[in-house]
Amino acid sequence: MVRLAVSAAGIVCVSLLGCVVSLAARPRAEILHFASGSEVVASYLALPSASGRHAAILIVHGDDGMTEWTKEKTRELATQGYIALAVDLYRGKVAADSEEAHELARGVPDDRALRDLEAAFAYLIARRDVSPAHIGVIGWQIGGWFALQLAIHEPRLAACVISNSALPTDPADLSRIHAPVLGHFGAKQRGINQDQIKAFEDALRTRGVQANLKTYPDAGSDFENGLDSIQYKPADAAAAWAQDLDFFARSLRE
Amino acid sequence: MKQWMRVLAVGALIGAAALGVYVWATPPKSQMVEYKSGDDTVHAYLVLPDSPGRHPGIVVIHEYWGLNDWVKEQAQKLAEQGYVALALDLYRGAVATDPGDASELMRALPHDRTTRDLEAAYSYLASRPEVDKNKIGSIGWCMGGGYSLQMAIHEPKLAACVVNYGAMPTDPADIARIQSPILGNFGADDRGITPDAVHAFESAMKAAGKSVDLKIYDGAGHAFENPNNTAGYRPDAAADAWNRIVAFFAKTLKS
Repeated sequence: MVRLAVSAAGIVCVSLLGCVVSLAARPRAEILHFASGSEVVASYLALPSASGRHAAILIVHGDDGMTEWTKEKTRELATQGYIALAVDLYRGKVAADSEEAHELARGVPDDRALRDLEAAFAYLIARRDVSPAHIGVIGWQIGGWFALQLAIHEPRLAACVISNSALPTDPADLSRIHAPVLGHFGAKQRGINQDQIKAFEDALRTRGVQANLKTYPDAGSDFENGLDSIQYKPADAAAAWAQDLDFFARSLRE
Repeated sequence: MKQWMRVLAVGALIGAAALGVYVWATPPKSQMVEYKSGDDTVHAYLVLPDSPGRHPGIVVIHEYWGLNDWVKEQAQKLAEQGYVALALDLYRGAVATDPGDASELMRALPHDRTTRDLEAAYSYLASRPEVDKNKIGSIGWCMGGGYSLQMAIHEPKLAACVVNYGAMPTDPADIARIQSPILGNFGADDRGITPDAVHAFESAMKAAGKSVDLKIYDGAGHAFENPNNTAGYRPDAAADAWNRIVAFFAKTLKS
Protein backbone atom coordinates (compact mmCIF):
# COMPACT_ATOMS: atom_id res chain seq x y z
CA MET A 1 0.00 0.00 0.00
CA VAL A 2 1.37 3.36 -0.94
CA ARG A 3 1.44 5.81 1.84
CA LEU A 4 0.40 9.35 1.15
CA ALA A 5 2.09 11.83 3.39
CA VAL A 6 -0.49 14.15 4.85
CA SER A 7 0.73 17.48 6.06
CA ALA A 8 -0.53 18.78 9.36
CA ALA A 9 -0.61 22.16 7.68
CA GLY A 10 -3.37 20.81 5.47
CA ILE A 11 -5.77 20.76 8.37
CA VAL A 12 -8.44 23.33 7.71
CA CYS A 13 -11.80 24.34 8.96
CA VAL A 14 -12.35 23.12 12.47
CA SER A 15 -15.97 23.80 13.10
CA LEU A 16 -17.71 23.45 16.38
CA LEU A 17 -21.30 22.50 15.98
CA GLY A 18 -22.52 22.56 19.51
CA CYS A 19 -23.26 19.56 21.66
CA VAL A 20 -21.38 21.30 24.44
CA VAL A 21 -22.48 19.71 27.64
CA SER A 22 -22.85 22.06 30.53
CA LEU A 23 -22.14 19.62 33.32
CA ALA A 24 -18.51 20.10 34.26
CA ALA A 25 -17.84 16.46 35.00
CA ARG A 26 -18.98 15.29 31.61
CA PRO A 27 -16.79 15.52 28.53
CA ARG A 28 -17.44 18.12 25.90
CA ALA A 29 -18.25 16.59 22.53
CA GLU A 30 -18.37 18.25 19.14
CA ILE A 31 -18.33 17.53 15.45
CA LEU A 32 -14.92 18.28 14.01
CA HIS A 33 -13.96 18.64 10.36
CA PHE A 34 -10.40 18.01 9.20
CA ALA A 35 -8.77 17.67 5.79
CA SER A 36 -7.72 14.28 4.46
CA GLY A 37 -6.08 14.72 1.08
CA SER A 38 -8.53 16.78 -0.96
CA GLU A 39 -11.50 15.73 1.18
CA VAL A 40 -12.97 17.08 4.38
CA VAL A 41 -13.78 14.41 6.93
CA ALA A 42 -16.34 14.85 9.68
CA SER A 43 -15.41 13.26 12.97
CA TYR A 44 -16.53 13.25 16.57
CA LEU A 45 -14.27 14.83 19.17
CA ALA A 46 -14.71 14.44 22.92
CA LEU A 47 -12.58 16.44 25.35
CA PRO A 48 -11.83 15.85 29.02
CA SER A 49 -13.15 18.46 31.41
CA ALA A 50 -9.76 19.06 33.00
CA SER A 51 -7.40 21.60 31.46
CA GLY A 52 -3.76 21.01 30.54
CA ARG A 53 -2.12 18.43 28.31
CA HIS A 54 -3.66 15.04 27.77
CA ALA A 55 -2.94 11.79 26.09
CA ALA A 56 -5.13 11.23 23.01
CA ILE A 57 -6.91 8.29 21.40
CA LEU A 58 -8.19 7.81 17.86
CA ILE A 59 -11.37 5.74 17.65
CA VAL A 60 -12.14 3.76 14.49
CA HIS A 61 -15.66 2.40 14.11
CA GLY A 62 -16.73 -1.14 13.20
CA ASP A 63 -18.46 -2.36 10.05
CA ASP A 64 -21.71 -0.61 10.97
CA GLY A 65 -20.13 2.86 10.93
CA MET A 66 -19.92 5.67 13.47
CA THR A 67 -22.94 4.68 15.50
CA GLU A 68 -24.22 6.12 18.77
CA TRP A 69 -22.33 3.29 20.47
CA THR A 70 -19.07 4.46 18.86
CA LYS A 71 -19.75 8.00 20.08
CA GLU A 72 -20.55 6.69 23.55
CA LYS A 73 -17.18 4.90 23.67
CA THR A 74 -15.51 8.11 22.52
CA ARG A 75 -17.12 10.08 25.36
CA GLU A 76 -16.16 7.37 27.86
CA LEU A 77 -12.52 7.72 26.85
CA ALA A 78 -12.74 11.49 27.32
CA THR A 79 -14.21 10.88 30.77
CA GLN A 80 -11.09 8.86 31.49
CA GLY A 81 -8.98 11.90 30.67
CA TYR A 82 -8.14 11.36 27.00
CA ILE A 83 -8.72 13.65 24.05
CA ALA A 84 -10.79 11.24 22.01
CA LEU A 85 -11.33 11.59 18.26
CA ALA A 86 -13.62 9.18 16.38
CA VAL A 87 -12.98 9.21 12.64
CA ASP A 88 -15.86 8.54 10.27
CA LEU A 89 -14.46 6.36 7.46
CA TYR A 90 -17.95 6.12 5.92
CA ARG A 91 -18.48 9.86 5.36
CA GLY A 92 -21.63 10.14 7.42
CA LYS A 93 -23.27 6.83 6.58
CA VAL A 94 -24.38 4.48 9.33
CA ALA A 95 -25.59 0.97 8.48
CA ALA A 96 -29.22 0.15 9.23
CA ASP A 97 -28.64 -3.61 8.88
CA SER A 98 -25.86 -6.13 8.32
CA GLU A 99 -26.29 -6.07 4.53
CA GLU A 100 -25.71 -2.34 4.44
CA ALA A 101 -22.79 -2.72 6.86
CA HIS A 102 -21.22 -5.11 4.39
CA GLU A 103 -21.78 -2.76 1.46
CA LEU A 104 -20.28 0.14 3.36
CA ALA A 105 -17.29 -1.89 4.57
CA ARG A 106 -16.64 -3.21 1.07
CA GLY A 107 -16.90 0.28 -0.38
CA VAL A 108 -14.13 1.86 1.69
CA PRO A 109 -10.96 2.37 -0.34
CA ASP A 110 -8.01 1.11 1.75
CA ASP A 111 -5.85 4.03 0.75
CA ARG A 112 -8.49 6.58 1.73
CA ALA A 113 -9.06 5.02 5.15
CA LEU A 114 -5.36 5.08 5.97
CA ARG A 115 -5.10 8.65 4.72
CA ASP A 116 -8.01 9.63 7.00
CA LEU A 117 -6.31 8.09 10.04
CA GLU A 118 -2.95 9.65 9.24
CA ALA A 119 -4.67 13.02 8.84
CA ALA A 120 -6.51 12.53 12.14
CA PHE A 121 -3.22 11.63 13.82
CA ALA A 122 -1.63 14.76 12.35
CA TYR A 123 -4.53 16.80 13.66
CA LEU A 124 -4.14 15.40 17.17
CA ILE A 125 -0.38 15.72 17.34
CA ALA A 126 -0.64 19.38 16.27
CA ARG A 127 -3.05 20.23 19.10
CA ARG A 128 -1.38 22.12 21.92
CA ASP A 129 -3.35 20.23 24.54
CA VAL A 130 -2.21 16.81 23.25
CA SER A 131 0.89 15.13 24.60
CA PRO A 132 2.53 14.11 21.28
CA ALA A 133 4.27 11.02 22.61
CA HIS A 134 1.03 9.63 24.03
CA ILE A 135 -1.37 9.03 21.17
CA GLY A 136 -3.10 5.69 20.79
CA VAL A 137 -5.76 4.11 18.60
CA ILE A 138 -8.65 1.70 19.13
CA GLY A 139 -10.66 0.02 16.36
CA TRP A 140 -13.31 -2.66 16.07
CA GLN A 141 -13.72 -5.02 13.10
CA ILE A 142 -12.83 -3.12 9.91
CA GLY A 143 -11.63 -0.31 12.19
CA GLY A 144 -9.17 -2.68 13.85
CA TRP A 145 -7.56 -3.48 10.53
CA PHE A 146 -7.08 0.20 9.84
CA ALA A 147 -5.85 0.81 13.41
CA LEU A 148 -3.11 -1.71 12.66
CA GLN A 149 -2.41 -0.01 9.34
CA LEU A 150 -1.88 3.21 11.28
CA ALA A 151 0.48 1.34 13.63
CA ILE A 152 2.44 0.20 10.56
CA HIS A 153 2.61 3.63 8.95
CA GLU A 154 2.89 5.93 11.99
CA PRO A 155 5.93 5.11 14.13
CA ARG A 156 4.94 7.70 16.76
CA LEU A 157 1.78 5.79 17.67
CA ALA A 158 2.09 4.71 21.32
CA ALA A 159 -0.71 2.15 21.77
CA CYS A 160 -3.02 0.10 19.55
CA VAL A 161 -6.17 -1.78 20.54
CA ILE A 162 -8.00 -4.00 18.05
CA SER A 163 -11.11 -6.10 18.26
CA ASN A 164 -12.12 -8.84 15.85
CA SER A 165 -10.12 -7.50 12.95
CA ALA A 166 -7.91 -9.01 10.29
CA LEU A 167 -4.21 -9.25 11.14
CA PRO A 168 -1.41 -8.22 8.78
CA THR A 169 0.93 -10.99 7.65
CA ASP A 170 3.58 -9.26 5.56
CA PRO A 171 6.88 -9.50 7.51
CA ALA A 172 7.94 -6.07 6.23
CA ASP A 173 4.73 -4.51 7.55
CA LEU A 174 4.90 -6.39 10.85
CA SER A 175 8.46 -5.19 11.42
CA ARG A 176 7.25 -1.59 11.23
CA ILE A 177 4.86 -1.90 14.20
CA HIS A 178 6.32 -0.25 17.29
CA ALA A 179 3.21 0.37 19.38
CA PRO A 180 2.16 -2.29 21.90
CA VAL A 181 -0.95 -4.11 20.69
CA LEU A 182 -3.90 -5.40 22.72
CA GLY A 183 -6.55 -7.43 20.89
CA HIS A 184 -9.88 -9.14 21.55
CA PHE A 185 -11.28 -11.97 19.44
CA GLY A 186 -14.48 -13.94 19.73
CA ALA A 187 -13.75 -17.64 19.26
CA LYS A 188 -17.08 -18.22 17.49
CA GLN A 189 -16.35 -15.98 14.55
CA ARG A 190 -15.30 -17.40 11.23
CA GLY A 191 -12.13 -16.28 9.54
CA ILE A 192 -9.55 -15.33 12.13
CA ASN A 193 -8.06 -18.46 13.62
CA GLN A 194 -5.66 -19.20 16.46
CA ASP A 195 -2.77 -19.83 14.06
CA GLN A 196 -3.09 -16.32 12.67
CA ILE A 197 -3.36 -14.83 16.15
CA LYS A 198 -0.27 -16.69 17.33
CA ALA A 199 1.71 -15.81 14.20
CA PHE A 200 0.93 -12.14 14.73
CA GLU A 201 1.85 -12.24 18.42
CA ASP A 202 5.09 -14.10 17.70
CA ALA A 203 6.10 -11.66 14.97
CA LEU A 204 5.81 -8.72 17.35
CA ARG A 205 7.14 -10.40 20.48
CA THR A 206 10.33 -11.62 18.81
CA ARG A 207 11.12 -7.96 18.18
CA GLY A 208 10.35 -7.04 21.78
CA VAL A 209 7.04 -5.40 20.93
CA GLN A 210 4.24 -6.19 23.34
CA ALA A 211 1.36 -8.11 21.75
CA ASN A 212 -1.48 -9.56 23.80
CA LEU A 213 -4.38 -11.01 21.79
CA LYS A 214 -7.15 -12.47 23.91
CA THR A 215 -9.79 -14.95 22.85
CA TYR A 216 -13.31 -15.10 24.30
CA PRO A 217 -14.66 -18.66 24.02
CA ASP A 218 -18.38 -17.89 23.92
CA ALA A 219 -18.23 -14.71 21.86
CA GLY A 220 -18.58 -13.89 18.19
CA SER A 221 -17.22 -11.11 16.02
CA ASP A 222 -19.30 -8.25 17.42
CA PHE A 223 -19.52 -9.11 21.12
CA GLU A 224 -18.51 -5.68 22.38
CA ASN A 225 -21.14 -3.80 20.42
CA GLY A 226 -24.04 -2.86 22.67
CA LEU A 227 -26.18 -2.18 19.61
CA ASP A 228 -25.83 -5.74 18.30
CA SER A 229 -28.80 -7.44 19.93
CA ILE A 230 -27.70 -10.90 18.80
CA GLN A 231 -23.96 -10.92 19.38
CA TYR A 232 -23.54 -8.55 22.34
CA LYS A 233 -22.02 -10.30 25.37
CA PRO A 234 -22.16 -7.86 28.28
CA ALA A 235 -19.72 -9.66 30.59
CA ASP A 236 -17.11 -10.24 27.87
CA ALA A 237 -17.57 -6.70 26.60
CA ALA A 238 -17.06 -5.27 30.09
CA ALA A 239 -13.94 -7.40 30.59
CA ALA A 240 -12.48 -6.27 27.25
CA TRP A 241 -13.23 -2.62 27.95
CA ALA A 242 -11.62 -2.79 31.41
CA GLN A 243 -8.48 -4.20 29.82
CA ASP A 244 -8.55 -1.48 27.17
CA LEU A 245 -8.65 1.24 29.82
CA ASP A 246 -5.88 -0.42 31.82
CA PHE A 247 -3.76 -0.84 28.68
CA PHE A 248 -4.19 2.79 27.66
CA ALA A 249 -3.48 3.94 31.22
CA ARG A 250 -0.16 2.06 31.17
CA SER A 251 0.81 2.95 27.60
CA LEU A 252 -0.32 6.55 27.33
CA ARG A 253 0.10 8.18 30.69
CA GLU A 254 3.22 10.22 31.25
CA MET B 1 -37.98 -53.87 -41.97
CA LYS B 2 -38.23 -56.22 -39.10
CA GLN B 3 -39.27 -54.88 -35.75
CA TRP B 4 -35.92 -55.65 -34.09
CA MET B 5 -34.02 -53.89 -36.87
CA ARG B 6 -36.16 -50.80 -36.44
CA VAL B 7 -35.50 -50.81 -32.72
CA LEU B 8 -31.79 -51.20 -33.34
CA ALA B 9 -31.73 -48.41 -35.91
CA VAL B 10 -33.65 -46.01 -33.68
CA GLY B 11 -31.41 -46.97 -30.76
CA ALA B 12 -28.32 -46.34 -32.86
CA LEU B 13 -29.67 -42.96 -33.94
CA ILE B 14 -30.42 -41.95 -30.38
CA GLY B 15 -26.99 -43.14 -29.31
CA ALA B 16 -25.28 -41.20 -32.09
CA ALA B 17 -27.30 -38.10 -31.28
CA ALA B 18 -26.46 -38.40 -27.60
CA LEU B 19 -22.77 -38.80 -28.41
CA GLY B 20 -22.94 -35.76 -30.69
CA VAL B 21 -24.58 -33.67 -28.00
CA TYR B 22 -22.01 -34.92 -25.52
CA VAL B 23 -19.06 -33.99 -27.74
CA TRP B 24 -20.59 -30.65 -28.69
CA ALA B 25 -21.40 -29.78 -25.10
CA THR B 26 -18.18 -30.98 -23.51
CA PRO B 27 -17.43 -28.24 -21.05
CA PRO B 28 -13.95 -26.80 -20.81
CA LYS B 29 -11.64 -28.92 -18.70
CA SER B 30 -11.67 -27.83 -15.08
CA GLN B 31 -9.50 -28.93 -12.18
CA MET B 32 -8.41 -27.76 -8.76
CA VAL B 33 -4.77 -26.68 -8.68
CA GLU B 34 -2.39 -25.39 -6.01
CA TYR B 35 0.29 -22.75 -6.06
CA LYS B 36 2.58 -21.12 -3.52
CA SER B 37 1.97 -17.63 -2.16
CA GLY B 38 4.76 -16.76 0.26
CA ASP B 39 4.78 -19.66 2.74
CA ASP B 40 1.12 -20.45 2.07
CA THR B 41 -0.46 -22.81 -0.43
CA VAL B 42 -3.36 -21.33 -2.36
CA HIS B 43 -6.02 -23.49 -3.99
CA ALA B 44 -7.61 -22.41 -7.23
CA TYR B 45 -10.13 -23.60 -9.78
CA LEU B 46 -8.49 -23.75 -13.20
CA VAL B 47 -10.47 -24.04 -16.43
CA LEU B 48 -8.78 -24.64 -19.79
CA PRO B 49 -10.36 -23.99 -23.17
CA ASP B 50 -10.85 -26.98 -25.47
CA SER B 51 -8.61 -25.76 -28.25
CA PRO B 52 -4.87 -26.47 -28.29
CA GLY B 53 -2.14 -23.85 -28.24
CA ARG B 54 -1.59 -20.80 -26.09
CA HIS B 55 -4.48 -18.71 -24.81
CA PRO B 56 -4.87 -15.47 -22.92
CA GLY B 57 -5.36 -15.97 -19.16
CA ILE B 58 -7.74 -14.39 -16.67
CA VAL B 59 -7.48 -14.31 -12.89
CA VAL B 60 -11.00 -14.60 -11.46
CA ILE B 61 -11.58 -13.12 -7.98
CA HIS B 62 -14.55 -14.14 -5.86
CA GLU B 63 -17.14 -12.14 -3.94
CA TYR B 64 -17.29 -12.03 -0.16
CA TRP B 65 -18.99 -15.45 -0.26
CA GLY B 66 -15.76 -17.19 -1.23
CA LEU B 67 -14.95 -19.54 -4.11
CA ASN B 68 -18.49 -20.82 -4.63
CA ASP B 69 -20.26 -22.41 -7.60
CA TRP B 70 -21.27 -19.07 -9.12
CA VAL B 71 -17.67 -17.88 -9.37
CA LYS B 72 -16.61 -21.25 -10.81
CA GLU B 73 -19.39 -20.86 -13.37
CA GLN B 74 -17.99 -17.45 -14.37
CA ALA B 75 -14.57 -19.07 -14.83
CA GLN B 76 -16.22 -21.76 -17.00
CA LYS B 77 -17.93 -19.11 -19.10
CA LEU B 78 -14.65 -17.29 -19.64
CA ALA B 79 -12.94 -20.54 -20.65
CA GLU B 80 -15.72 -21.09 -23.19
CA GLN B 81 -14.68 -17.74 -24.63
CA GLY B 82 -11.16 -19.08 -25.11
CA TYR B 83 -9.39 -17.99 -21.95
CA VAL B 84 -7.46 -19.97 -19.36
CA ALA B 85 -9.41 -18.95 -16.26
CA LEU B 86 -7.96 -19.25 -12.75
CA ALA B 87 -10.43 -18.64 -9.91
CA LEU B 88 -8.35 -18.49 -6.75
CA ASP B 89 -9.57 -19.10 -3.21
CA LEU B 90 -8.63 -16.16 -0.98
CA TYR B 91 -10.42 -17.77 1.98
CA ARG B 92 -8.32 -20.94 2.28
CA GLY B 93 -11.27 -23.27 1.80
CA ALA B 94 -14.04 -21.41 3.60
CA VAL B 95 -17.26 -20.68 1.70
CA ALA B 96 -20.18 -18.79 3.20
CA THR B 97 -23.88 -19.12 2.39
CA ASP B 98 -25.06 -16.71 5.08
CA PRO B 99 -24.34 -12.95 4.79
CA GLY B 100 -23.14 -12.76 8.40
CA ASP B 101 -20.57 -15.50 7.81
CA ALA B 102 -19.53 -13.90 4.53
CA SER B 103 -18.96 -10.57 6.27
CA GLU B 104 -16.84 -12.26 8.92
CA LEU B 105 -14.71 -13.97 6.30
CA MET B 106 -14.23 -10.72 4.41
CA ARG B 107 -13.39 -8.85 7.59
CA ALA B 108 -10.85 -11.49 8.60
CA LEU B 109 -8.94 -11.31 5.34
CA PRO B 110 -5.49 -9.72 5.65
CA HIS B 111 -5.30 -7.43 2.64
CA ASP B 112 -1.55 -7.86 2.35
CA ARG B 113 -1.95 -11.64 2.08
CA THR B 114 -4.55 -11.17 -0.63
CA THR B 115 -2.25 -8.94 -2.66
CA ARG B 116 0.43 -11.63 -2.35
CA ASP B 117 -2.05 -14.34 -3.43
CA LEU B 118 -3.04 -12.31 -6.49
CA GLU B 119 0.52 -11.62 -7.58
CA ALA B 120 1.27 -15.32 -7.14
CA ALA B 121 -1.86 -16.17 -9.20
CA TYR B 122 -0.54 -13.99 -11.99
CA SER B 123 2.85 -15.73 -11.86
CA TYR B 124 1.19 -19.14 -11.79
CA LEU B 125 -0.88 -18.38 -14.90
CA ALA B 126 2.16 -16.91 -16.65
CA SER B 127 4.06 -20.14 -15.96
CA ARG B 128 1.39 -22.41 -17.51
CA PRO B 129 2.28 -23.74 -20.96
CA GLU B 130 -1.28 -23.04 -22.20
CA VAL B 131 -1.05 -19.33 -21.36
CA ASP B 132 0.27 -16.40 -23.39
CA LYS B 133 1.98 -14.57 -20.53
CA ASN B 134 1.70 -11.20 -22.26
CA LYS B 135 -2.09 -11.48 -22.31
CA ILE B 136 -3.23 -11.92 -18.72
CA GLY B 137 -6.20 -10.05 -17.30
CA SER B 138 -8.22 -10.01 -14.09
CA ILE B 139 -11.88 -9.84 -13.14
CA GLY B 140 -13.63 -9.62 -9.79
CA TRP B 141 -17.01 -8.94 -8.27
CA CYS B 142 -17.86 -7.17 -5.02
CA MET B 143 -14.87 -7.62 -2.69
CA GLY B 144 -13.06 -9.31 -5.58
CA GLY B 145 -13.72 -6.29 -7.78
CA GLY B 146 -11.74 -4.14 -5.39
CA TYR B 147 -8.95 -6.70 -5.45
CA SER B 148 -9.02 -6.81 -9.24
CA LEU B 149 -8.09 -3.12 -9.16
CA GLN B 150 -5.42 -3.80 -6.57
CA MET B 151 -3.97 -6.30 -9.02
CA ALA B 152 -3.82 -3.58 -11.67
CA ILE B 153 -1.91 -1.39 -9.19
CA HIS B 154 0.55 -4.08 -8.14
CA GLU B 155 1.07 -5.95 -11.42
CA PRO B 156 2.30 -3.58 -14.15
CA LYS B 157 2.16 -6.31 -16.81
CA LEU B 158 -1.56 -6.93 -16.32
CA ALA B 159 -3.18 -6.47 -19.74
CA ALA B 160 -6.85 -6.02 -18.80
CA CYS B 161 -8.78 -5.41 -15.58
CA VAL B 162 -12.51 -5.71 -14.93
CA VAL B 163 -14.13 -4.46 -11.73
CA ASN B 164 -17.74 -5.18 -10.91
CA TYR B 165 -18.99 -3.05 -8.00
CA GLY B 166 -15.66 -3.10 -6.16
CA ALA B 167 -13.91 -0.40 -4.13
CA MET B 168 -11.74 1.94 -6.17
CA PRO B 169 -8.38 3.44 -5.22
CA THR B 170 -8.25 7.19 -4.55
CA ASP B 171 -4.53 7.72 -4.02
CA PRO B 172 -3.07 9.46 -7.11
CA ALA B 173 0.18 7.53 -6.61
CA ASP B 174 -1.73 4.23 -6.82
CA ILE B 175 -3.69 5.37 -9.86
CA ALA B 176 -0.43 6.40 -11.54
CA ARG B 177 0.78 2.80 -11.20
CA ILE B 178 -2.16 1.35 -13.16
CA GLN B 179 -1.01 0.32 -16.64
CA SER B 180 -3.90 -1.90 -17.70
CA PRO B 181 -7.12 -0.67 -19.32
CA ILE B 182 -10.00 -0.79 -16.84
CA LEU B 183 -13.61 -1.80 -17.46
CA GLY B 184 -16.11 -1.28 -14.65
CA ASN B 185 -19.77 -2.11 -14.02
CA PHE B 186 -21.58 -0.50 -11.09
CA GLY B 187 -25.09 -0.22 -9.69
CA ALA B 188 -26.49 3.28 -9.15
CA ASP B 189 -28.15 2.14 -5.92
CA ASP B 190 -25.02 0.60 -4.36
CA ARG B 191 -24.89 2.04 -0.86
CA GLY B 192 -21.17 1.50 -0.35
CA ILE B 193 -19.81 2.43 -3.78
CA THR B 194 -21.76 5.47 -4.84
CA PRO B 195 -21.98 6.99 -8.32
CA ASP B 196 -19.94 9.89 -6.90
CA ALA B 197 -17.09 7.51 -6.07
CA VAL B 198 -17.31 5.98 -9.56
CA HIS B 199 -17.20 9.41 -11.21
CA ALA B 200 -14.27 10.48 -9.01
CA PHE B 201 -12.29 7.39 -10.01
CA GLU B 202 -13.13 7.90 -13.67
CA SER B 203 -11.97 11.54 -13.52
CA ALA B 204 -8.76 10.61 -11.71
CA MET B 205 -8.00 7.89 -14.27
CA LYS B 206 -8.66 10.17 -17.23
CA ALA B 207 -6.61 12.98 -15.70
CA ALA B 208 -3.75 10.51 -15.40
CA GLY B 209 -4.16 9.54 -19.08
CA LYS B 210 -5.39 6.02 -18.29
CA SER B 211 -7.83 3.91 -20.29
CA VAL B 212 -11.09 3.54 -18.37
CA ASP B 213 -14.66 2.59 -19.27
CA LEU B 214 -17.10 2.63 -16.35
CA LYS B 215 -20.84 2.10 -16.61
CA ILE B 216 -23.40 2.79 -13.90
CA TYR B 217 -26.69 0.87 -14.19
CA ASP B 218 -29.81 2.70 -13.06
CA GLY B 219 -32.20 0.66 -10.98
CA ALA B 220 -29.42 -1.74 -9.97
CA GLY B 221 -27.61 -2.02 -6.65
CA HIS B 222 -24.91 -4.13 -5.11
CA ALA B 223 -24.25 -7.55 -6.72
CA PHE B 224 -26.81 -7.07 -9.49
CA GLU B 225 -25.03 -9.59 -11.75
CA ASN B 226 -25.52 -12.57 -9.43
CA PRO B 227 -28.85 -14.48 -9.72
CA ASN B 228 -28.31 -15.86 -6.21
CA ASN B 229 -28.84 -12.31 -4.99
CA THR B 230 -32.56 -12.86 -5.43
CA ALA B 231 -33.72 -9.39 -4.42
CA GLY B 232 -30.96 -7.50 -6.17
CA TYR B 233 -30.43 -9.49 -9.39
CA ARG B 234 -31.10 -7.41 -12.52
CA PRO B 235 -31.06 -9.80 -15.52
CA ASP B 236 -30.97 -7.13 -18.23
CA ALA B 237 -28.19 -5.15 -16.57
CA ALA B 238 -26.33 -8.39 -15.84
CA ALA B 239 -26.55 -9.48 -19.49
CA ASP B 240 -25.35 -6.09 -20.68
CA ALA B 241 -22.47 -6.13 -18.21
CA TRP B 242 -21.45 -9.62 -19.37
CA ASN B 243 -21.48 -8.50 -23.01
CA ARG B 244 -19.29 -5.57 -22.10
CA ILE B 245 -16.89 -7.91 -20.27
CA VAL B 246 -16.67 -10.33 -23.23
CA ALA B 247 -16.06 -7.48 -25.70
CA PHE B 248 -13.48 -5.82 -23.44
CA PHE B 249 -11.45 -8.99 -22.92
CA ALA B 250 -11.63 -9.78 -26.65
CA LYS B 251 -10.27 -6.33 -27.46
CA THR B 252 -7.55 -6.27 -24.81
CA LEU B 253 -6.46 -9.91 -24.63
CA LYS B 254 -7.13 -11.41 -28.06
CA SER B 255 -5.85 -8.68 -30.37
